[in-house]
Amino acid sequence: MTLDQLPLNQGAVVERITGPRPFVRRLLSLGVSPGSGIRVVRSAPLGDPIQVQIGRLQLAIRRSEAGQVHLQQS
Amino acid sequence: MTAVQIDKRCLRIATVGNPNVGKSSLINAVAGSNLSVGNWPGTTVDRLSISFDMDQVRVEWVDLPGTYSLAGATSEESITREELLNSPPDVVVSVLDAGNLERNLGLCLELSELGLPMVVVLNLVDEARAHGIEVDPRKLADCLGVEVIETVASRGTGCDEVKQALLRACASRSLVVYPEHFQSALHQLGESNRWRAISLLSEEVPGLETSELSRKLRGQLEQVQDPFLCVAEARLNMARHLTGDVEVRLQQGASLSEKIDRVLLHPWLGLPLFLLGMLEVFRFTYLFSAPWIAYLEVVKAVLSGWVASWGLPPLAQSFLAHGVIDGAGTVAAFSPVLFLLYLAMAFLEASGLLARTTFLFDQVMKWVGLPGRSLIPLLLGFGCNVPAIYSTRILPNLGDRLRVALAIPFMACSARLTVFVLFGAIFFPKNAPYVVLGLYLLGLLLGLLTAFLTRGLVPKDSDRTGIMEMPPYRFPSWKAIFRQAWLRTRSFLRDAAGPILGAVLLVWFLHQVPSGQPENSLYAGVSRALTVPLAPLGVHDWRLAGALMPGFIAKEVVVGTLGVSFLGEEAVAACGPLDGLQQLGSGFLIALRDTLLAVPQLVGLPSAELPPDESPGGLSAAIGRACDSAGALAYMVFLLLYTPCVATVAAIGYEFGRRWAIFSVIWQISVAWLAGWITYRLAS
Repeated sequence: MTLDQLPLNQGAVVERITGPRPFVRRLLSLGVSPGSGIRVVRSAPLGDPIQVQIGRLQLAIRRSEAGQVHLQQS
Repeated sequence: MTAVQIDKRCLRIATVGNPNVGKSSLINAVAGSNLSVGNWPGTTVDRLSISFDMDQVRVEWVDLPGTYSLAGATSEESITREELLNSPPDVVVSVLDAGNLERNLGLCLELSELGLPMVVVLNLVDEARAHGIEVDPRKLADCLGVEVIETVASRGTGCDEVKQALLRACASRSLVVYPEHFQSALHQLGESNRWRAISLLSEEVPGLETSELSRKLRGQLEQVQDPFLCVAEARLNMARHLTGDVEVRLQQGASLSEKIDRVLLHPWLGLPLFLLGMLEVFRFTYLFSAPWIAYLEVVKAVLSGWVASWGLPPLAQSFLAHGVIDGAGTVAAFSPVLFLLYLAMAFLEASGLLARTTFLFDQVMKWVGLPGRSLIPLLLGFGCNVPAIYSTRILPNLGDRLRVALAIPFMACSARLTVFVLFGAIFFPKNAPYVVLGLYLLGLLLGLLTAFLTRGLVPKDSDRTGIMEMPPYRFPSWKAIFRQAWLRTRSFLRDAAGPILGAVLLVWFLHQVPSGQPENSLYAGVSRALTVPLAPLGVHDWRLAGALMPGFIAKEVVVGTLGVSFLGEEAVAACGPLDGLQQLGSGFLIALRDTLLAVPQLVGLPSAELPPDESPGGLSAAIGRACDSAGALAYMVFLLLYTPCVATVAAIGYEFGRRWAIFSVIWQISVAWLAGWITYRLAS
């Protein structure tokens, strides 16, 4: 499953991040890495982007990019 | 810990940290300076440096832009990396957000691999505590091997301790443990600077020269595991491990930020609330600036009256009254609006609201290929184009900034409204509000079209991810906001005063040469020449065409110029020194009273009514005879679009270079002529 498919308010753990290097670097440097707990808080009124929470960090991420964040099967 | 003795008269310090952790606040608190502070990742776009004296030591403090790492290709990363490698400071101050320790430690650990003397500042401890997070600074200092100081920079707490720590900073040491195969490659490379060695082996870093050996070693590493991921994971693991050791977390319910977000980012309420908030910003700007713009008219009248009482020759008197004083008045009339808009902007930035706007409108702006936050500069353009141009700095990508800046002048600023109100009342008395609304929408549409057409300006592979941090809401300090608004207004006055004054004097000169009737002046001659290209738009009257010239200086003066051209110049009433002083004093009191009276008006629903037309009597009838309604509509469309005012052109030139300023003027005149022509054809 990828992050864009994660239902609202359901916790999950990041398995791996794919995509272009700047994108991976940005997520890694924000502390989003394999093993991080992640949760979708809400989606924007127009559907995109989504707001996710990692620890105390709140991030906005577009759905297309969230599709690059793969989650562990629980 | 062994302190590195810094025996220097001059100490170079650089602050490094993630965006939005309070680096600029820290410098402001320690040095008492005026760096701009915003709750917006990326407030410090350039490398800023200030000098001050601290305990008899001269300090040069460099504020580096917020960054998440040192190795990447974004401009923040490049600026930070070049500063630290090419002119290493005596002390690096690593600023951490105590509430986001794990993420912040990632950069701190990377920094410590540079081996420079370092002090760690644990900022925002109050906010962290409010969230139930306690960090033990002594334990962290023991782990890192450098001093760790707790601060609340916005309130100045802990700043004295920071000053002392700076003078006895210890060299940092690397803590991160890399996998065996990576360590041995590091050893083989034999590069003394550990950070440089790690970067050479892990990835392509712009500006970092590789050697044959480093390329070979990196090739070998790549066969085991992507060395970039290997390094990132090792640092993150260490950060996670350290955080676990020094941090205590208490369980908490929903935070205040989350509660606010539930309302402001609500699926149905979010968008209307935002638009209401934006209307409130304009209402605030209009209500509080109007009394002071009126007061500036009083000041102008008094100054001109004084000049008139000196008994100078008419030409000299006209030069002072209609050239110098009117010119200075035009410049000054900008400042109330600008200051208030900058104030609102500073509040939006510092409170964290701006980031929410991006979240709400990302989808809309994606249609024209812009990030969501570009909506803010565009909307500010409806107030005044000048601050809107400067506010494009909230966009991280230069290409996007330029595209938004080219779109902004199409937004009908409040100055253009005065002309729309006058013409609307004359030619479309029944439908004036709809005509004006139509003009606003036309401007918005053409602006977005401009942004869409220029999307090629941004290279496809540019680092433009949609990932954005949503900072917690913070109530900004009024002092910082006022200071920021004032600094920005001052820089406008400094940059734009010259061009505006020069242009006003030029128009005055054209009016005077050769002396005699206004119809015979050079101004009338140039205006008549202008009617040739404007004829297809149905504008044949030279006075209408001519008003477009001063309109280039500031759209505010168009109605005034029309008044002079159609009705002749109003005689300046002389006034004595005491009389003038009395007028200045009472005018000031009236402005102050009107400002206070405006406070209750801030609350209320938006109304569809246009502000009253305040042009001199008789002007309406004169203009009504000068052209037909189709021509008037085309004239309004042309005036809406034809060119940014001098101050806006200067702002574009300052931010993006003269080439783009000229491009903007030519592009707008072309669009304006075409749109005006189409309007005239359709309307007649």
